[in-house]
This record gives sequence, C-alpha cells and structure tokens, in this order.
Amino acid sequence: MMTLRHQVYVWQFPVRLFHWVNALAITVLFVTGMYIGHPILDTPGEAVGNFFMGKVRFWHGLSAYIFIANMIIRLYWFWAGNEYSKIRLWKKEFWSDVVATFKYYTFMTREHVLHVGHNAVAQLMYLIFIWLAGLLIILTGLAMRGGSDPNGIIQSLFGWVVPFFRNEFQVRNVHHFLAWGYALFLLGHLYMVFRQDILDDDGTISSMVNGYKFELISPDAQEGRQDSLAKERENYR
Amino acid sequence: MSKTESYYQWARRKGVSRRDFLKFCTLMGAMLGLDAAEFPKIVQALQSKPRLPVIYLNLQECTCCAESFLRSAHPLVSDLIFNMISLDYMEVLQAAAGHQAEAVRLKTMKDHPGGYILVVEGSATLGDGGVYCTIGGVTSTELLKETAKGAAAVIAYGSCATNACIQGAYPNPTQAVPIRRVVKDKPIIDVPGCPPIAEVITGTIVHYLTFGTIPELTNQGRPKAFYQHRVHDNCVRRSFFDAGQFVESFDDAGAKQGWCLYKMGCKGPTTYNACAITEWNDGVSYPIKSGHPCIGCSENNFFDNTPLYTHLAKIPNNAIGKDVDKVGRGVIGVAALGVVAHAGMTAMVKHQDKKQETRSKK
Repeated sequence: MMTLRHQVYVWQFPVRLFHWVNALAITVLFVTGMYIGHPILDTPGEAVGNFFMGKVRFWHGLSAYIFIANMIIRLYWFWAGNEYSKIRLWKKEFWSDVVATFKYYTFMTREHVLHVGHNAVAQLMYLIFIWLAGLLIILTGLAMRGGSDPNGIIQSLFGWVVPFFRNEFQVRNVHHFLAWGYALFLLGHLYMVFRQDILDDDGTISSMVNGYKFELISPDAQEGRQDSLAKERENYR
Repeated sequence: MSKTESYYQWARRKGVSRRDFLKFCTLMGAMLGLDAAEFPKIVQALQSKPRLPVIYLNLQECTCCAESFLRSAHPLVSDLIFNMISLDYMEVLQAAAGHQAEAVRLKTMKDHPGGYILVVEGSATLGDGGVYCTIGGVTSTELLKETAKGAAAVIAYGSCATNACIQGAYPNPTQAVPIRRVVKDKPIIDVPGCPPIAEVITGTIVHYLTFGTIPELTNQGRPKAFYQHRVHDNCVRRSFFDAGQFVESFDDAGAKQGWCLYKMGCKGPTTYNACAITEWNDGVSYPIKSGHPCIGCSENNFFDNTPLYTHLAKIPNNAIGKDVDKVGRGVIGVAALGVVAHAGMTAMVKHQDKKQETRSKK
C-alpha cells in the first residue's frame, strides 16, 4: 500500500502573516544593525546634505517596533489560535517527542514520528531563538533607544536594563551577539524546512503561503484511518 | 568662623558683593537644571543655612578627581564653593599633617554627627584585609566605615568610588570595590568619571545644601541633572555620525574636517556624562571636540572594555578574546559545516533505505 496524504489546514492566516512579517523585520534589522555596528560606507560632501546613518537608524527602529508588535500579536494567537499554533512545554508528550525527534535527527533511529505541525524540537528552537532571544534583544534594544530620551516612557520602563548588565557597552554587546543568533537560526531553519519538504513531500514550503500541509498516513497505520477517510468521501458525495 | 554663620554672611565677610552672590545662585540653578522658580530657594538656602562641613577622603585613587575638583572653572564657583563648604579634611589641600590632620577629621565627626557630607574619592580595598591602601595605619575600608557612620550623605566622587575604575579592572588584584559595597546604610550619590567634571560635584553639593535631599538620580544612581544624557546624543560631531561620515585614521581628511570619531573607538554612544554639555575647564572643550574619542570613563568597568582606540563593535570579549562578529562568523561557519554533514548523512541513509526497499521487493 502507498503512503496516503491527507490535506490539513495547519497555519492560520495570523500565523502565516506573523511568519513573513517576522522574516522581513529580522532581515531588515540584521542588515541595518550590522551597518550601525560597522558603518562601512562613507558619504562624501557636507554633513548637511546627508543623513545616511540617521536613516539606517530610523529603519532599524521602525522595523524593531514592527517586530515587537508582531510578537505581541503572535503571543495573543498562542491563546486564540488552533492546535498547531501552541507550544505546550508542560505536557509529558512534548518532552518525549523532543527525545524521539532528537534521536531521529541524529540518525540514532530510523523511526520518524510524523507531525502535521511543528515537532517538539522545532518548537523548542522557536522558543529559544525567537522568543527568549527576541525578548532579550527587545529589552536591550529598547534600553539603548530609551537613553536618548531620559524622561521618556521607554526609559522609565526599560531603564533598569543598563544597570542590570553593569554598563551600556555590555547591553550593546549582548544585542549584537543575539543578532548572530538569528543568523544561526536562519541557517538551521532553512535547512530543516527544505529537508522536511524533500524527504516527506508534505508541502512544508507551500504551507507557509497557503496554510495547508499534507498529513502522511503510513501503510501500517491506514487500517482504521481509511475508513474515516472513506466516510469523509461519502459525505462529499 | 562661627558655626551659625550662613554662606551669605560668610561670602560678604570675604568681600563678595550681593550682586555676585546672586549671580552665583543663578548659575548654580542653571547648572542643576532647575527652572527659574527654584532660584529663590537657592538664595534662601544659602542665606540661612550654616556652612556645610565636608570631609573629603582620598582612598585608593590617583588624585585626578581632586585635581579636577581644584579646576572648578568659574571663578565664582571655584572661590566660593571651594571655600563655601567648610572643607574640614582633605589630604591633598590641608596644611595639617599626621596626627593633627586626623584629629581635625575626628573633631568634625564629633561636632556634627549626622550633619556632614562625606565625599569619597577612590575605592575601598578588600583584598588581604585591605592592606593595599592604608592611611594613618588604618585600612582605607575601615577609615571609610568609620567616617561614613556619622555622615548625612555620601558622595562617591569619581569612577574609583563608583565602580572601582582601573584598579578594579580584571583581575582586580587588590579586590577594589565601589563605595556602595562597603557603605550600605547611607544615601549614596554616584558621581562617576575619571575624573568627573568639577562643576558636577560642586553642583551636587549645592543641590544637597539647597534642598536638604540628595538630587534626583538616574537608573544608574547618578545625579540626573548631569548624567541623564549620553555624550553621543549631545555631541558636537553628532551631525557627522548621522550623515555617515567617519574618521578612519587620526591623520585622514575626515579628521581634519572634524568628522565623527565612532570608528576610532569613541565610547560616546554608550557613555552617560555631561561632557558634551558642561564641557571642561570653564567650558573650553571636551575630548571629542578636541579630536579625541571618548573613552567612556564614567561607565562601569570601562577599563575592561578596551582597547580604547578600537571601534566599539570590534572590542574583543574578555572571556573569549574575540569580538562578537568573529564569534558570530565562526559559529555560522561551524553550523554551515554541520548542515552540510547532516545533509550528506541524510542522503546516505535515504540511499540505503531505498536499496533495502528494492531488495525486499525482489
């Protein structure tokens, strides 16, 4: 018997929107951020006629606020969204899945636990590289922005970050370091996405646009399943 | 001088005119960042309050703060403030020496319990029982504890006192610590800098004198009036930063044009100080204005974040010995190799699986 594919609507619109806004924001933030760290271009002429660094900092700030707003909306969607939009760390199954998936990725076992949504290792990576690192990079970023307006709301909310890291140099350092975390994440993320799509042919890549993935039903698990699918077909007739 | 003589009375006795006195009050008001309505309060305070006894301790330090203090720029400031506070003990300036000097300190402590200001320059040393800095046979830490006991407030003057400065840099052999770590039950005002600007300490003292409270502090415990702004945000060269015009070496065309010193290792973007506003030596200049990058001397552990002339983002991390970007590129390189290896492994496994499948079908 062949492997069956069953179409499932996995990524709801807000999740897909979050993904692409996030991708765009991170790209802009990384490029502008690296430029702020290493201004390699020199603008000739009078200072009066140029505002290049100023513009780069403006776009960095704007993308940062978009990034933050996007994260907040996604945070809401953890609660409001469907099953696939959640991370459930407190579940026993989550951690057993972490072990199983880790074994699969390290070729310790051939057994491939199939997921329609993210597997637990992927979820864990999002938690670390997007959510925890994101929180830290937002805090350090806002702390540095706040310094420009000593009596502003940002400084009163995030002023504690600088003494927490001892000095602003370290805040900046941590911010810069975390940026590389995103580059690392992107590398792993892209590899895993293409690998998944090629190996399982489950529509991982196209699902980022249209939201649909294909649930794989292996031959030995088809017994009862086929009946339900047949029933479904009956209903359509 | 009698104990009850006010500043104003004292100043008049010294030949200062009322006009000059009021001018001084206005200047102090402006320097403290107060609005015009607060001006009468300063006059009121200086006319009615007795002179404030001040004990100035020099612990583990280089005396650059005292040197800066002496250069308190405005004539009125230097003369009046310097004489105005009843500076009862300061090793660098006092005529007395030895037991005589110590006796003066003890007398002030006895006469004004809870009424004097303690200005501390230099850090306390905890290493090996504090033997690395002793004054009159007493360790600096003990001296500090003893003198701080009866103080109304403690001003930690200079980076040594606020963050242990250079001697506190890794590996900190003498275990130099900021004043805060030793004196815990008194209000402490941090006035960092290596050295701080003279007007900053005179301003801080006058604030205490005028309002009887310590000034509003920033998130890092420093007087807000002087330390709320980044050097970078008020820099005379900021327009060149925003334009994207940077000095690449100290003798290039950009340096002649007065371009931004960011790439020459300027720490202005991470440093909170009044240099760009108050400036130094009667407002003559400050480092960046004179063509030298800011070294960030008022920031905690500034001497651990060196070399001084290395661009901010290229300063190597102390633990790893490499800068962030080198670490980042290295990690990405290793990860890329890992991805390639993993992909190769995947292909191999997949190939084997297929072989097995075709074999089993046969």
